[in-house]
Amino acid sequence: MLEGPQALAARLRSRLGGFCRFLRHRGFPVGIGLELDLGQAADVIRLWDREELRRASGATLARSPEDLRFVNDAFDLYWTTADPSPGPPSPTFDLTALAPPKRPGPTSPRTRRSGSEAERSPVAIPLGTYSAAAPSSGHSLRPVSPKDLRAVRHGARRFRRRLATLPGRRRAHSHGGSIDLRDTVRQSLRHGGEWVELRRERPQASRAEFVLLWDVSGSMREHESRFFALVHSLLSVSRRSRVFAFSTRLEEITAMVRRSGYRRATETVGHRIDRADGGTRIGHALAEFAEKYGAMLGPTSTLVLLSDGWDLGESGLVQEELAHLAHRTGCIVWITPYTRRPGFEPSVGALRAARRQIDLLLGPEDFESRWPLRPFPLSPTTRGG
Amino acid sequence: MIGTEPWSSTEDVERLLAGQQYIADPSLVMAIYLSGRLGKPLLVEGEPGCGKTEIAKALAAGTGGELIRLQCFEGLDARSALYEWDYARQLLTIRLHETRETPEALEREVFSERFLLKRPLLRALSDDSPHRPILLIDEVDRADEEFEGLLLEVLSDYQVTVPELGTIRAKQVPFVLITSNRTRDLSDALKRRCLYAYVDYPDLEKEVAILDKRLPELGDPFARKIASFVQRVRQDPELSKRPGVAETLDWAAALLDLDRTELSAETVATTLGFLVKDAQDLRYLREQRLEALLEK
Repeated sequence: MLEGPQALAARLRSRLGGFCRFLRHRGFPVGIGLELDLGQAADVIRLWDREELRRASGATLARSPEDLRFVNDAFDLYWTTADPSPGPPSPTFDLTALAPPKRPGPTSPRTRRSGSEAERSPVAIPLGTYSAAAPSSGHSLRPVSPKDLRAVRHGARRFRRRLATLPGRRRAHSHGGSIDLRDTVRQSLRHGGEWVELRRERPQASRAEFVLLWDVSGSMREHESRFFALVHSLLSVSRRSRVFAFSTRLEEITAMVRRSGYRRATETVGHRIDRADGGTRIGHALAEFAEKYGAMLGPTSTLVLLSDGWDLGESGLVQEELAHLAHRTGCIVWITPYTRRPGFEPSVGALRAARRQIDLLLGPEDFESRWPLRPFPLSPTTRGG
Repeated sequence: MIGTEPWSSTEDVERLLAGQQYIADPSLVMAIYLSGRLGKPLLVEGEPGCGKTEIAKALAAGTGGELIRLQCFEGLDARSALYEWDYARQLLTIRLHETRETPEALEREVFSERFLLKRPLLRALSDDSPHRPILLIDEVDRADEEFEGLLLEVLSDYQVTVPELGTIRAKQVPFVLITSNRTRDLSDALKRRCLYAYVDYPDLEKEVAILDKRLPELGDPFARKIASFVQRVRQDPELSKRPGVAETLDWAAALLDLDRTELSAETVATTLGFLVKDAQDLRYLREQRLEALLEK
């Protein structure tokens, strides 16, 4: 029996909560606020129009182009039509396709449905087909899952707060600095309108400026997706930062990484670094960096090296160049994939040579967990010890 | 508190934008429609030059509402975005009245609305004209992350708290459009308060339609040639900055001004600077890719 649009809309509305649960189940964070937004949106759209509901779901639930793709894919899976024809999709809903995904359990009433009904339900769709980590092209750089990316971004924000050296928006009372007219007026009023003193203020440090040197040589290949998520996150939380990829040569890739969307940036950068195979000479890369871009460094900048330390060049050059760079930067951080491995010691070629100049030695795990940074303890003779 | 929305369906929004020569994707139309109906801010992200700011201009022109623009920049603070006290006048008033009034009366006087300089956010909330104002918070990613904290109260409750005066509530809910080029990630708190739309580069047909609408003198065949060339340029993975729609329009206008009706190698080489704004990209295209791009 055919239903009228109002009855259909009422049935669809009752399924919206299921759609939100379905998204949560697949790792997409839909809070109560967003669920309410979708419910409110459902009240003002033609709910029986499949494309309208899809667009409204995107507008209310997504917060990035990656989210939009995820919501659209999940929408197709959840609100799937039972018998897709080869032609263009139907603009309205197929009423037989409203059931939420099956939950396991022998007592579930859905298990008692007839065979044809079961075939027509979304349960018949292989729900595991979508993966945020699915390969996007032929290169080896793969996007990490949205959940992992969010975790790394939180870590990048913590890192930025810890290493903030640049003045932020907040201002604090100080003896020098610019005149704080607001406070001066208040002070004046406290003394019956008498102008007692000029109050002064200075901005507090809350922003950081990173210069990232990312090792994309062969030995880092198995970690490169993880490290790229970190590079992308560090750039997205600090607008002044720049990133350089190096292996046998050095190349700035800031514009490529900043390109809209993590996935698009992954594709572009993956395409570019694919050619950067083979070994690396960290010392030469540092020398090239110092010569070409050294002028951009200053006491407020933080140099971040992302490398496992395997080096085909001379370790003396690494030490020399890092010592040179250490004079020009406020801080040097080295991020290596192995700090959490049992028995790890910073003893690999370049890392061993560089340890005297490093302020912090971290692993990617420091950015992926919710805990504060746990730098690898360096010996007291080192700069960061 | 939901404002009187000037549209009652997505078709209304589409018509309104089309009337202002703005061609929008259905998903963007839906986001604008919902933003107006639900009274929630709309966050629009996308590549530079793809028409994010133009949405606000088109809406303002189409609805008759005042366009109030807050251009974000590094270091933007409450004084430039919300309000500021007119300190010079306050000091003058204190001097003039200090002998006649008690300190308490003087404080009440100098911290009254008369001495308040309204900046864009407060101006949008105070607007009581018959049409909803359009508040454009442009390129919010250029501002510091701390600035987003300032926006939270404004965007969720449409009110501003001035410690000396109390809470000022919006007379009518403005249509709030926030744009970002994604040069940094915005805070979750800000994103949660907004609806979302992403403006990508247009496909060939849409770009031709934009050229036809904005520069009808080009004629469809030439507009198609220009759009096809730009599409091929955008697909080049070696470019660090890809041209947006704004660059396409600039380039097409330049070609029109030069009375060109064909894309010859010489014409493209001399005018490519309108399309590509990066020195390395420009050199690369001129020296290595121009012939291949024109041959296709």
